[in-house]
Amino acid sequence: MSEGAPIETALSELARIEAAYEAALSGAHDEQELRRERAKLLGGEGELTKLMRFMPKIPNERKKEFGQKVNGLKRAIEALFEARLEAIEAEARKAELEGPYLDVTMPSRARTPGRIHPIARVEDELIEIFGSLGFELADGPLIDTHANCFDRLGFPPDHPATDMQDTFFITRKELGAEETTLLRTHTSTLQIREMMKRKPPLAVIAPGTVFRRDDDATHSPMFYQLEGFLVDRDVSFAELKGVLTLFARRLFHEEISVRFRPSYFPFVEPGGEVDISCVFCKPWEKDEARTASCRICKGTGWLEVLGCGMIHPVVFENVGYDPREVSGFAFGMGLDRIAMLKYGVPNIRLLYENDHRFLSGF
Amino acid sequence: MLASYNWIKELSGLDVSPEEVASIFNRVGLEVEGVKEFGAGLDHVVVAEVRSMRPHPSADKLRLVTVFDGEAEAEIVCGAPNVPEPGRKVILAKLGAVLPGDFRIVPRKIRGVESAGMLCSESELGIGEGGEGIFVFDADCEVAPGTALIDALPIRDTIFELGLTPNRPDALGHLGLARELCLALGKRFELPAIELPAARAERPAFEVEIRDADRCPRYGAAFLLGAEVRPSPFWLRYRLYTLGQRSLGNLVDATNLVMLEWGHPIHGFDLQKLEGKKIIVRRAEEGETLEGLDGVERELTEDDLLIADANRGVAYAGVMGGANSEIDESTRDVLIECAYFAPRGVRRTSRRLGIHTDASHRFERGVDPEAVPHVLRRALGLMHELGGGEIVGEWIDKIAKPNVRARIEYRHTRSRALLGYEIELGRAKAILEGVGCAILEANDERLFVEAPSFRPDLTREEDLIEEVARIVGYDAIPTVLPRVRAGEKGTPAPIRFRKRLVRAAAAAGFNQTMSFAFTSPETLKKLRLPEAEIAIENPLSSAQSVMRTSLLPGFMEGASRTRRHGGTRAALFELGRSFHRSDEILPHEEEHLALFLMGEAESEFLVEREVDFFDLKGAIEGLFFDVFGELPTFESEHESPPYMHPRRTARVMLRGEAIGIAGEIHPDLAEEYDLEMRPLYAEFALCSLDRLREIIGDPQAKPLPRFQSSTRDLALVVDESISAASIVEALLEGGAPLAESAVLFDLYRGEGIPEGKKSLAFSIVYRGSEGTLKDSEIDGAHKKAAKLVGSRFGAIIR
Repeated sequence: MSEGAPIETALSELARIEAAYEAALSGAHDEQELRRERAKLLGGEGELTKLMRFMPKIPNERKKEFGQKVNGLKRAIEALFEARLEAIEAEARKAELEGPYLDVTMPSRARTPGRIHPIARVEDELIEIFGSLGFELADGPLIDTHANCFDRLGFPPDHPATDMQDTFFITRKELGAEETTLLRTHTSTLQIREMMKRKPPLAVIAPGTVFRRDDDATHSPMFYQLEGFLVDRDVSFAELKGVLTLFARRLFHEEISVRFRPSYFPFVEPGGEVDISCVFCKPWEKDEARTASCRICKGTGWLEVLGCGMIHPVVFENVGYDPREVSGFAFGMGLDRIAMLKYGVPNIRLLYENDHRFLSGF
Repeated sequence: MLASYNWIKELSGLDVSPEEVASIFNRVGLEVEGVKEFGAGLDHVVVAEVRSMRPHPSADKLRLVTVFDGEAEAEIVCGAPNVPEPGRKVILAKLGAVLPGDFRIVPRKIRGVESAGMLCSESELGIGEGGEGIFVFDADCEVAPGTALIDALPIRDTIFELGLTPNRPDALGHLGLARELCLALGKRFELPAIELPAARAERPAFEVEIRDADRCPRYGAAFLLGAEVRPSPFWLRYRLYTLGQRSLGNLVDATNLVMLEWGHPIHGFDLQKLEGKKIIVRRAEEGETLEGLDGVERELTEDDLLIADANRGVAYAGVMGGANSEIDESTRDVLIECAYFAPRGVRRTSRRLGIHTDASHRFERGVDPEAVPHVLRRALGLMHELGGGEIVGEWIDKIAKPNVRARIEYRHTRSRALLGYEIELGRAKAILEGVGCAILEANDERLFVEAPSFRPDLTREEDLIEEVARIVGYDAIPTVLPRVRAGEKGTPAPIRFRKRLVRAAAAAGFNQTMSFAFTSPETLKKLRLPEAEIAIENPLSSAQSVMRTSLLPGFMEGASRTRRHGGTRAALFELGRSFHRSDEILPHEEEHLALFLMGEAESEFLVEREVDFFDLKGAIEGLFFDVFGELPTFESEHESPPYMHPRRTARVMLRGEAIGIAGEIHPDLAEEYDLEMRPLYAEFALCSLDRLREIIGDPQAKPLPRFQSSTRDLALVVDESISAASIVEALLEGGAPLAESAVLFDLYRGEGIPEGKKSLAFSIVYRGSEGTLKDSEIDGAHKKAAKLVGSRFGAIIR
């Protein structure tokens, strides 16, 4: 811009800008371009901004006129800019909404949460089911005394009943009069521990790992049990049946049948085993051919899931309860087996091998 | 226990199908675990008469036997050495027959000669062990050629495999099973009458002396003289075969059959081999030895009961006979032992010697002490029937300690309360009678009974109630929900807290594991873990011989397995215990939460990297923020345990307490396990977390900030050794009370930064509590913060 006649020069420059801005802003095709064009006019070094710097050189009487013109143009530019921006945005929105679909199958950025162990999942379900019936949780040591694991539960000394539970013994620190300690063979130790600690009424479930000297295709030397027991006045076998029937139906299926068979465990009398309808061939759906060929229940339609019974009076005597005053029931089940049934786990070993690939599946 | 359907049926006198028997047994508590059919499907297998025999033209060991099958003659190629003379009868599998193992008889040329079927052995028919050669009928057998085999021989039976509970020794014999069947069906059971031929022989001079009445309350001995040892007849061989016993000649087979019938083991001695005409039942002397029937010589202890003659031991009492007195082919005179040995003693000897026999199995559970005379009578009769000879009418029955039968009360009210179901007293009485109880007294409310000697498990009222309930059927008892009794305390908080930790660890991205609590000393050593303090006396293998001192072994083994199978990632956690010595009777079980992370990071698409410390750190922050609502802090651990990386391990702190460690596992160990990656590991002590749980309690609401904050950045150059956290601490201290937070956002080393230094940039947030801060206030605080960092760490502000 020449220094000649400032006002004229300025006005002609103003006219030039006025004539060109529309084309410049309208020619912008996206927001970035539009903003660049606006900056060329109104930015710190923009044409119109520079023009304003002429103000001091403009004669006073024309200052007002010049000012009004510049501001007028500025408003016009801004208005057009806003309008254009809106149009460009609308166009872009339209293009986005009508354009290609997002490939939603591309990998995500989310972090996968971990999984709860299948046994713990079953345990959580049982805690909820038995919890709703008023059972509380208890826990105890994995290494316990022979007294808690066998003697107080009424296992006669040197009795073949202990063969049912082949035991790992802990090496004595030094030979002496010390008590025999062992890896608990069942969670029934918690019956003794809780009853010796508390007074009835009590309703307890105690899940946890147990150990037996058994290692083959269907046995793991460490496995997982859940013990439950309820002690009060006048507890009956009918209530034991009620609790376990409800448990099986809630855990597996509401139409499941439950069958109680007499059996023997030294710490209950009467004692029993509980079978439920096979959860694989689902006999309640009455597909007899499917049941006949079922590998899991071997065509019987039944699966053995737990042992139970009325707590033996000897157990009560051993923990200082009066068997004439109280009665109770107890039950125990292998959560490995239940997890395997529920989640179709083919081999018990998988549960304890810590393989990330297997565990990720739950 | 294997049980024969035919035998049970015969002894019970009931006509019930095998399926019904199985179902009844299951219902009353004798679990049928398997069912096997014998002699089924043997169509086209018939009796045939040998007519002639000639050599095979091209094979020395084969012969061509012409047999008559009732309709026609056929020539059969046979390789058996015992083809009998013409006129004797054999078993022919005709063309079209299918033998066990899906063996189909089809026309077949054997060394060039066509055979029109096969002459069969017992094993080929699945009805016996077989021995050498084909089955040959006795010479006096009158069965006609062409008779179907199943009509000619009793070869069809159903064998139940029973899973008996140890309280039921009575069910270890077929008489007991027959009694149980009658009981379940409400039929009267009677022991079969035992007819003995007239005794002709005088009792030889012989004495029995019991020196330990507690271990051997009763000992009976009967004698059979001049018997002949020979193979057992087919029916006996068949019965023993189907019940899983080997046939060892008529006299020994008889003892086994009597055991399987009565559930009472008996033993036959060769009378001539017993020295001094005496049986002494005594404890062994310490170190005394005896060779068993199995040919193994064993050393005994004073705790072992021994059957001895005048000079030496002749049998491990109740467990196994001795080699020095066994019946062999030349035996003529037999002493039959039928005794009651106390269960505990037999079990201890059997366990100590490591031999479990049919006899010890029964004695351990308790045989019927009062059955001795019946069993001896039956054994004598059977041995005489099979081996001839002369029965000695007078036997020895020494009772050192008489059996006392239990007398028990059964109250109607007690039964009703315990079962939650009313069983009429008359019904209960009938059942208990069926069980074998003698009713001593009965009125409207109670029974007073004497338990039978064959049911040692019946000692208390509850035992009788179970008997009644199991026969009525557990199905009859109603299904009732108990009253809900809410516990006063509910589940203890620590147990609930553990559940919460498990959920948080899973939410932080880790899969829960459960690993074996035992491991091997070598593994602990290899992983540089503390030595085991708790050992297992009788481990299955050395790999599981000690209790673990850390949760690390399970992870390393799992990770190694995953790697071997081509897995590229492992994110695992365990809430478990380690085991340590203590001053108490029981060892100390220490609970830990441990995390293990290895392999590919889950990160941005197209960005591939291995996880590192900061992935683990982030997960730990998330985990504890989840559980406690507070972030833990990390301090460099300069004394990390030997299994951790000496320079890349942190001490994890929360509320000023060290709660655990986190870092890289020592690279040597990763190499040892062929992981080819840098696994990360963190472990936390549950005892610390439990304390924090009590301290921290529930989160409390904090007032939200009312005024706007402002942010200023600060870049500085410090020594490599200065930790980010210490600078943050100084910034907050210097900028107090306005500085609210300081976050590292850039780290730079290289051009422009001297060796051994690093450039860090922090973003510091300032906020006032009384109003929005003015620029001058912010600048003042920012300057003080920078100044403190400068003076404390010699930091150069850039």
